[in-house]
Amino acid sequence: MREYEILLIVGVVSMLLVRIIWEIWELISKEKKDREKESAYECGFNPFMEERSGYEIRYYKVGIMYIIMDVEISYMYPWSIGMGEIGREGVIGGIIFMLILLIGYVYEWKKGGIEWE
Amino acid sequence: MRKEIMVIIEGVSKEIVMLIPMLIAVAYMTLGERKILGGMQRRRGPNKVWIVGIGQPIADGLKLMIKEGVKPTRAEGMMYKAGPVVTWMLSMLGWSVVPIGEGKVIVDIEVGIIAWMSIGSLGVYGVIIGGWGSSSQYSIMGGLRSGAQMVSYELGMGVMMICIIIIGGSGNISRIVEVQEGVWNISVMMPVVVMYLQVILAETNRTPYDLPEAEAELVAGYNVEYGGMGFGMYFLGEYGNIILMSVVTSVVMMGGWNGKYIGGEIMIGIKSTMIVYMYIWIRGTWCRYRYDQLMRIGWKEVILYGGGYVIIIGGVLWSIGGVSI
Repeated sequence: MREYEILLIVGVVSMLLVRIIWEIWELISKEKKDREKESAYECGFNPFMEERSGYEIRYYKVGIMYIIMDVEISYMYPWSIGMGEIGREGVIGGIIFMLILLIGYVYEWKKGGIEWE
Repeated sequence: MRKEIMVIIEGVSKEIVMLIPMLIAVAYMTLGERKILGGMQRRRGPNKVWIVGIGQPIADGLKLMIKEGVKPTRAEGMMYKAGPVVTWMLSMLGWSVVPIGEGKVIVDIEVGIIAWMSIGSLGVYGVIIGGWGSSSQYSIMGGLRSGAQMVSYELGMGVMMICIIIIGGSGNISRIVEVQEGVWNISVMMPVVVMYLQVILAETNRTPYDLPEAEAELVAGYNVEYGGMGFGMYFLGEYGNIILMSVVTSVVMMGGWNGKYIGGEIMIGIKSTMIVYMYIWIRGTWCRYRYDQLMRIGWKEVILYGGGYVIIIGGVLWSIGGVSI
């Protein structure tokens, strides 16, 4: 438990530290305000597209597929750590679980879910 | 009460002991990168500041620190600030679970490698928050690209780490190094080790998978609206991640601190410097993949073969009784 407390403190301290560096930077760098400079970036024009006007559905699809696959892979971690202790049934069970994953994966592939185009 | 204060003091002091060498390593990695790339193109690279350009990273850092930060008027204040902060913070936090010598680790937990994986997965947030918060169409596209790439290769990283956990018989990284005393994991994992290299390149957004960069169409990807230290924090976070990834690779794959004549931290230093050099070497020689090729490699090859190798190595090691408890 103590180790995890230290991990928490390291996280909090590093976040504070980074934030403090950011504040120091804002303090010592002087900003000259300019309307052109503060508009959204565009190559020499005025910005001609509303930002966040939508993005491709494919990124969303990749995100959803990532969640499914990652949960499945997360299930494998306990199996892999305890492999020496779970006996024959455990090992074979894990392999059967992976084969079931393979069925879903082949289904995704055949449906064209993991094609980028 | 006294116990809590002790924990806080220990955490803060370990943080500082970790932070300063990390900053120096990142600074001199940037100098080394510029020098090596210069050498590959028959130039000299930076050689003016102090002797042979030793002072260049410090000069660059100071310049970033006093540089004006232009915050776009449309940017979401909170998210705009959070992006670089999260990236750099997670890059520092990742160091806390990785041992760099026998017993030389900040938190020695039983699930070290899984903790490291989960801290690495959170790194996607820094990129997406920054890209989304700066409200430019280019940065949004760059952030989404980068996010999609990092999550796709996260899966490949997951299956590789499962193989390593099976070989080591534990999630504790020190234990994984002990197991490699005779044979490095790189030889046990030989069929998939090239895919592992691809995965570590893609996870850190480096050539040939540096699509978020995309100078031609997206100018610099997710950090196009950042200047000064905001950019500097992204930069430090990314390079910190590269060095961390090299250290992890040398620990879990290349035998860590085991060595006959020279062992310990020096050995890890030599191995991870070799891997960092490989990163730069690949950047100097290879060209970039297309986005659909990247997705094909990630989803159809790395996950498939990596997952297959989990079954193979699990079955073989278990049946010859090689799985340690």
